[in-house]
Amino acid sequence: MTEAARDLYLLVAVLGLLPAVSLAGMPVLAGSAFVAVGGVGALQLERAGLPIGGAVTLAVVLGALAGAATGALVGRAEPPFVALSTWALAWLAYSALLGFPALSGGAQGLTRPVVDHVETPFGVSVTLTARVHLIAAAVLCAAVSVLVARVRRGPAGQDALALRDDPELAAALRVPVLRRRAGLLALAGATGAAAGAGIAVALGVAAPADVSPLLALQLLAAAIAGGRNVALAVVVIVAVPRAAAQLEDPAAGAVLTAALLLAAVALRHFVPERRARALPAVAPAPAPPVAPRGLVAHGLHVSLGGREILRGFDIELVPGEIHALIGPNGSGKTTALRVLAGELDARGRLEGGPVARTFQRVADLPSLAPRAQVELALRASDRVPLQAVLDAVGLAPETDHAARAQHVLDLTDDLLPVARVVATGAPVLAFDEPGVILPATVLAPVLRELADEGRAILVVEHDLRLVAAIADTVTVIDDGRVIATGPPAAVIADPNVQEVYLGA
Amino acid sequence: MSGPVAVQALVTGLAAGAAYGLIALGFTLVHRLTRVLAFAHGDIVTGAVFVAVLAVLGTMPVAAPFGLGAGLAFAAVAVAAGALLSVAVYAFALRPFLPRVSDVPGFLIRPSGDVLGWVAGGLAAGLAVRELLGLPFAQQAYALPDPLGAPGTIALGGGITVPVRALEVLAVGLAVGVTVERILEVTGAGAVMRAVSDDAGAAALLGIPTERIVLVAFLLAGALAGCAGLLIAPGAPIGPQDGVLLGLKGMTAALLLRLGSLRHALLGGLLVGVLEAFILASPALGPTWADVVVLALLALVAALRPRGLLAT
Repeated sequence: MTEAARDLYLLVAVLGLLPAVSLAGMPVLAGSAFVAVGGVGALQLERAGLPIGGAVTLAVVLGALAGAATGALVGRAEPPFVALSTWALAWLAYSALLGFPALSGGAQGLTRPVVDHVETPFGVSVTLTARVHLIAAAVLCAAVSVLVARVRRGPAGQDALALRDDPELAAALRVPVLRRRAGLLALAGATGAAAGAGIAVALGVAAPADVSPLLALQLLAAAIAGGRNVALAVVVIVAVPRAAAQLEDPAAGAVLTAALLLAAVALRHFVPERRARALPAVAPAPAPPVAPRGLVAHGLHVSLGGREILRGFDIELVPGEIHALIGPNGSGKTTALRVLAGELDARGRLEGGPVARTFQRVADLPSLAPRAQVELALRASDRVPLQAVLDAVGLAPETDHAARAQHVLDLTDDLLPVARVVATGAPVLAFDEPGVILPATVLAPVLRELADEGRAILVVEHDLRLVAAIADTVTVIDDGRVIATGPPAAVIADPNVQEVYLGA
Repeated sequence: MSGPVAVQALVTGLAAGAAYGLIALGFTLVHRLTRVLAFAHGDIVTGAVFVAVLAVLGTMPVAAPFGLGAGLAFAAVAVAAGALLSVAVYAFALRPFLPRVSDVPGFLIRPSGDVLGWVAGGLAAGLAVRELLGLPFAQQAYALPDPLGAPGTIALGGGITVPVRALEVLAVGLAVGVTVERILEVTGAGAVMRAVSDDAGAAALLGIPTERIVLVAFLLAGALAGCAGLLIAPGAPIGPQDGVLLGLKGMTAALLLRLGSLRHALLGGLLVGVLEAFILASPALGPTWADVVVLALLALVAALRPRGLLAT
């Protein structure tokens, strides 16, 4: 029965790791370190004089802090480097435990009496038997399951899915990347520590061998398998290791873990995952008008890889106006856009904004329904209700659900990227070569409407005809400098422009 | 730390660092061509050594000196085993998850690799290598004979003595590392590899057999891992489980200065080796601290400056 309690405690750690691994797509390998913090932490704190209940609680808090710190550390890293960094942390914890006997009690580990009477704060004394642990672990499993389900359905879960699908787009939609990742790993840290503390108290021992990096691989395999179906996590973390133990060969468990890990990643695409739905509708508040606010850039200089890309770039984006930025390939258009959107630092003066941008490529968050994507961006603004966004991109208010659903489908195909940037509530909207994703006939009226509502619109294009038809002002950039700016007709007629841009 | 101790630490650190540099070199080569972080690379280092032990010395090795023939056979088997293990890991655990340039030039079957897939694949392959070798070699560590021979120390004057072995390791490690680095930077073979690493699709369009180039890169990385194992293994008792830490130290070396640069990988190896040696030599710290500091450095660099400290 003690074994069953141990398995259930491990399941708690897996469940807590699920959101970080399966929702946010972070290959976190520090799971064994979190379990070590809980197990060794609880028994060390008890030795320091705390009652066991207090020691376990404090160890779980320490686990949460360790998780949050890990999340903050790897918050900006790409997935392969998240794996490498957390793998190093798992080995760091293991090496430290093996190498510092004062910390871990040496190879034998720290011990405490298995059967123990505990005074609870409610005046009832409980004897910690295997049965008590089994119940405690089951309750903990249920509680963490409910918590994870809530995270999955809530804003944090949607943000996590967006981070997994397209981190660049998620960041552009103002998803708080660091905070979300730190939060998800804090959950993984707390549950891992709870599992470690529970196992240490149930078995009466916390030894380094039980928190080796092999455990990290088992936890990761279980979390990958459990991402689609929690029952698969139970199979990976409980059933298979039990079966391996029957073989009574020390290597069998490890080799089996390797096979499971491969199977979990190779087969995960065969288990379908539902596209996350939009959150329950919130009653729409009256839409406050977008505060008119433009953007002025003066004398921007940027060097990338030792080459000067922008050399004194100026632009002024006026509320209510559509401003086109054109230039030949390699002239610095995209770099200028990235500077204005705050993605790149530049020398020079930059006032106004903030700027929300679209991408040249087709950017989507396949795990989120279109409405959920718009809501994701809305959370950044905290101002505009959904209907206002749908109105702004030219979707009339709907009365019946079927028609609205149809409009949302339209949104997927055409105007979703536009709806997403509008939803961020930014006063300046920048579109990077929108001609790639939208035909001009669809785009032009929408951009005009967005401008008329007081936004400043920047369109980066090389399609001169598109630009001439929809822009109020055109700025031409060549070799990092502005060579002409003004009304489209005047700019097209400019001899400088004709020479460098049209090659005339 | 007294002067002589510091000099000795410097020399032994440089020697260990030359071996780490070889691990880092293979890791970098593979990363440049496939963007993969080779998580199993460290296990290939120890794997190569223990396959050679199995082939030449059997399952109960003793550290008696090699004859010339046995020493050469041991070295040859280790290098070949490293190369084969590396290719096997690539073929079975990494390749299924990587984007592939298909037979139709310029047409990508899968536009981007499955990151979770190859990370897990590499970790699983490493685990399998060390556990399978753990079956015949169940002890935690074995003292192995040294194909380089030459025990003893050299007195450099001023009370400084350095082990002859450290100088040999340093010389062999640097010679192999610099030779490989120069060949890849200067020759046509290197240019072909750079072309594939810059743009595999375009390279395929030009008729370069990209798949074969990647295979050669894994082969070479594995051979370098085998060399590193030969240099490291006889220095201290070693077991199949020690591969991961060696791999992580090699990765630290590869990431430390500028990820993707072969020269910086060798230099990074020397830096990691010297850092470790000075921690080992200081009385207040010792071996655990050496591991902990290097692992902490790796965790920080990988998370915060994954392109290296010198990257812009």
